[in-house]
Amino acid sequence: MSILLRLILSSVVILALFAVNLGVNFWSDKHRALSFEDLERTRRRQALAADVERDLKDRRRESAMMVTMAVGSDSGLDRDELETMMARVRATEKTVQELRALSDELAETEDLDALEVNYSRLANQLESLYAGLTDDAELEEPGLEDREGSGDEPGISPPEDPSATQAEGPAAEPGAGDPLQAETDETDLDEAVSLQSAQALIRQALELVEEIQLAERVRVQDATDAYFAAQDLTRRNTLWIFGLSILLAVALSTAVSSMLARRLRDLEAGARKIGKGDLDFRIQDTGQDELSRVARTFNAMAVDLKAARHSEEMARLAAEEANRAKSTFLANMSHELRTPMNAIIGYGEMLVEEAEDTGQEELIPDLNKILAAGRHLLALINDILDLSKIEAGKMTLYLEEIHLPDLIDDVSSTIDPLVAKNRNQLQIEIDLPPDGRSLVADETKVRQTLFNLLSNAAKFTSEGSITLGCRRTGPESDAGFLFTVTDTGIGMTAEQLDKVFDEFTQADASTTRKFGGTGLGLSICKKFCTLMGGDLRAESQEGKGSTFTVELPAVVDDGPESATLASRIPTASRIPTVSSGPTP
Amino acid sequence: MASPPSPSSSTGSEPSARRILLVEDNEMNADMLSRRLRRRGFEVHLAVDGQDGIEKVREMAPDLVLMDMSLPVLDGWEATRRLKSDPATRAVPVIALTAHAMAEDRQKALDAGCDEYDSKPVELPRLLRKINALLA
Repeated sequence: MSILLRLILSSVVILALFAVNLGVNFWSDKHRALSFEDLERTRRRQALAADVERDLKDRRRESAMMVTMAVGSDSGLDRDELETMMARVRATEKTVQELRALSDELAETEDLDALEVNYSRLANQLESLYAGLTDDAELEEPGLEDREGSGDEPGISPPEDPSATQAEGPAAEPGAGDPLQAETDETDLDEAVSLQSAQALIRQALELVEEIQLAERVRVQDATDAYFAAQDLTRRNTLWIFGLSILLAVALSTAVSSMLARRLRDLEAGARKIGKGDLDFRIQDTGQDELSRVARTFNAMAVDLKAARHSEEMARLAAEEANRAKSTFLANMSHELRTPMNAIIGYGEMLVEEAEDTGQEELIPDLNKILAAGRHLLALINDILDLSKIEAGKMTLYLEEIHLPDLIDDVSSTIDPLVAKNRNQLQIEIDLPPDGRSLVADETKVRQTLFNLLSNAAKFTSEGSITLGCRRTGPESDAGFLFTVTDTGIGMTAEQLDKVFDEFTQADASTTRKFGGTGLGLSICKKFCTLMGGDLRAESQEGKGSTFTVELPAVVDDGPESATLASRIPTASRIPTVSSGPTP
Repeated sequence: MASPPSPSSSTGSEPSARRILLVEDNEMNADMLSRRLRRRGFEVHLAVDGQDGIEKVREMAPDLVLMDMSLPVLDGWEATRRLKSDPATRAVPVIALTAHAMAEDRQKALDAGCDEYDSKPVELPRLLRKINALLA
């Protein structure tokens, strides 16, 4: 399953949980609202029942009072009073109907039905009673008819009557048993009877109301309980669902993120391993999702890298082998070339001597040209041999104590003819302490270096001065030695100075024609100096002259020099590059 | 070129002439150097390898030996070692000649007992200086 799908699924699940929570919330609201409505309705019914009870009690008192008043005096109720009282009766009837209507959904409505019937009969009874009490006789007729009409109906209630009569006995007797009232006319008697039956109905109604109230009280209690139970239930459900959702969501996201984290960790570890060069390492991930694809890409990269590294290694080995072969070839060739060169130069010199002896002087200039060309070629071969040996790591140092004043004397006398050739002056400036004039180094290489620097100075200077200086780098006994060769010659541009130690480079082609040289001398000198743990530096100003400085330690270290010879020479300069660029 | 400071005859057969044994296997080099030395008045004898060189030294007792180092049969270093270890030939000065212009070759030659060293190609004035110094 792809990671995208997993994430989408997780999101969907979390959304679903959210929806469930929302649903539970709505359901809880609804549930609470319903049970609250139920409770409200029950309370309302209770209130209505209380109203009905109060009204009934009012009617009982009122009707009794009315009858008493009517019997005691001749004046009856006027029409307005009748209407007011009837309105009250009807209002109560409405309340009863409302109460009944509110109870539609209840299972037991017998009491209510009975109350409704009872009350409508009571209402009629009261109406006829009140009508009888009014002054207007016309009104009595319909009132009596009503009473008679409804008189058939109380057939249901007679069984209750006796007890009701008994219970209300004391209230009914005063009207019935009054001797003074007994003398009143028939109407009065009728009214007493009517009052009695009304009172009985009221009593009956009150009993019903009491039962209803009793039932309602239970219902209110039940509804309240149900309401709190609902509240409890919804609260519990909400909490449960919410807690469950949180647990699920946390579990889901933990699972997804830990899966991602673990695999990313594996990927990272694998990538790091491969990056560190363990190209045989493979990230173990056999899945099909995005991370598996990344893992496979890494693995493929490791394979490619390994192949690339292998071919690179092969190429490097081949290049090294080729370089070694080149150096060996050059060393061998140089050696082989020297034998015929020796013959050419040797016989050339002999011919010059013979020409002098036999007076064939005209041959001498040509022979000298052959000799010069031969010597140049030989110098070139010797330089190449030196370089090849250095590069093949076969150059060894032969250290001995060199007495510098002697060496400098020797070198300067050797260079004298060359200095004189361009009418230059050679100055020697030796500034060495009496007890510090010796250096332990490879004399041949020091000599070759100084000779090379001096001959360069002589070549590139005319009618100027060349100074060979020698001093210590400091007052200590192990202070190094500095040799400086300064000339007042043509100097070099910054560009030429940059390449002055590169192989096969001279200022330009015309320099070679004009001044000769192989273009290898300075390069070899620099390598000799480096080899001996020192350095060779150049400073120059075009047209003003140049200064070459050789720095060597007082005692050249033997062991490592010959062993790590190749490593001391900067790699970049190890492969001679034939360049046509400038620099002397 | 200036004439040599040593014996003036160029025939090489005069009894007063200094006798040099040149041990060199390369015919051309041997021919060249021997002719130039003879021209400067030395009596030059030739040997073609190390073994031959040792025998010639014992036979003719030269005043000086010019010994090429890379020789067939017996190389120059070994031949010199043998000459220097034999009391009869120890006194004869030996100048090593080698195409290897390196200090290591010089050191090797001096270690073998050579009295002097010079590199090939021969620079005649320099070689003559060394010869005369040893013969003085």
